[in-house]
Amino acid sequence: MDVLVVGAGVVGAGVAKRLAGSSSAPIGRVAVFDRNPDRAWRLSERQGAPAAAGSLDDTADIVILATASGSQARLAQRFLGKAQVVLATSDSLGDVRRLLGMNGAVRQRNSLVVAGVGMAPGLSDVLAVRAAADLDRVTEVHVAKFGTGGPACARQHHKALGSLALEWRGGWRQRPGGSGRELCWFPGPVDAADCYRAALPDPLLLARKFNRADRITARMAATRRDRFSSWLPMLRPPHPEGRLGAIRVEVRGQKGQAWVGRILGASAPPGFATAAVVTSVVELIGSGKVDGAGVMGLSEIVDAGEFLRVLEGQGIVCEEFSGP
Amino acid sequence: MEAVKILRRALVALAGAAAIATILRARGTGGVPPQSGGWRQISGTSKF
Repeated sequence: MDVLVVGAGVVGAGVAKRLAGSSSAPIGRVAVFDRNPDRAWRLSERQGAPAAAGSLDDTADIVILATASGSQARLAQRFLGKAQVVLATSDSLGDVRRLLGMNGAVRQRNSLVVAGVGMAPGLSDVLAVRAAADLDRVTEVHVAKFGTGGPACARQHHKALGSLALEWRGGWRQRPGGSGRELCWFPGPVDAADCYRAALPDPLLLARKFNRADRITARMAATRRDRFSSWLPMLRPPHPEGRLGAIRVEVRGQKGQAWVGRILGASAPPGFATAAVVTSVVELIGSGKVDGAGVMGLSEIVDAGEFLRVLEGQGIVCEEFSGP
Repeated sequence: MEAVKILRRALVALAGAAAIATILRARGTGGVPPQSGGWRQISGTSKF
């Protein structure tokens, strides 16, 4: 199974490193492409075989898009017919919307494009499905995330906070980014953080799985300065890699006659977690446990329990919040 | 005279707001924070 990783930033480098050292997935060649050829070359040199510097014209069984958000729908289009599976890590609402719009063309080629393979969306969607596993009816799903991966991820978060958020309330509604403050309690060491609406793609993907829910929302943690400056260009350059990150998924619904609320979460640096999620999906594809054609979210192509078990092997342990 | 009237009204409004805030603050008991519960690790096969 040959893999092409497009983008050698925090996520791309993490994925290439994990795949090159993986013994559980039948990996042939791991090619890494970056628009900065030196960076891809240095990374492949550091990893050694089976990693190698690649190009956008390479053919591969799996293509992993780890480039800056905003470019991934165009790249996925480029690999249609050249790769069997494309995994897009973008958390941009626009990217995910455009990817979902490619469903017809992807189906026609009998390929699979997975949109939102990351911490959120991605792991957050799988946690929502896991939390809802034994519920008879899901009425509400609320996702919150804390932290950013590399500089491109930080720029995307800044942009998302200043853009219109999308929510499902029995119909799609647009709300201003930076509104709707809610204090969310994440797994440690993050703990409590104020979260706000932002242009996040989670509701778009979750609505495909929970199409009878009344409310599906997504929020991201931000400071007062983040909110105040969200309409400006970034005031200072983003950090090389975010060290603190977490997600929290709250699912409410009915089990028999009883109303149930369930909160699941995970805590890890976002770049690290995204690389772990991508590697877990590649492992599942390698063992023949992922099937389908078209454009789908992560929760639509994997079994939630199995995925979380494989993810544990990649160093991400999920947690449940239990109240008194 | 008009300016004094506006100033007096503003002072009355501020005093009213302060009085209401003081009452609400004094009445709030705060309660006892949760003494149990919290995050616990789960695995893919965990049952709820």
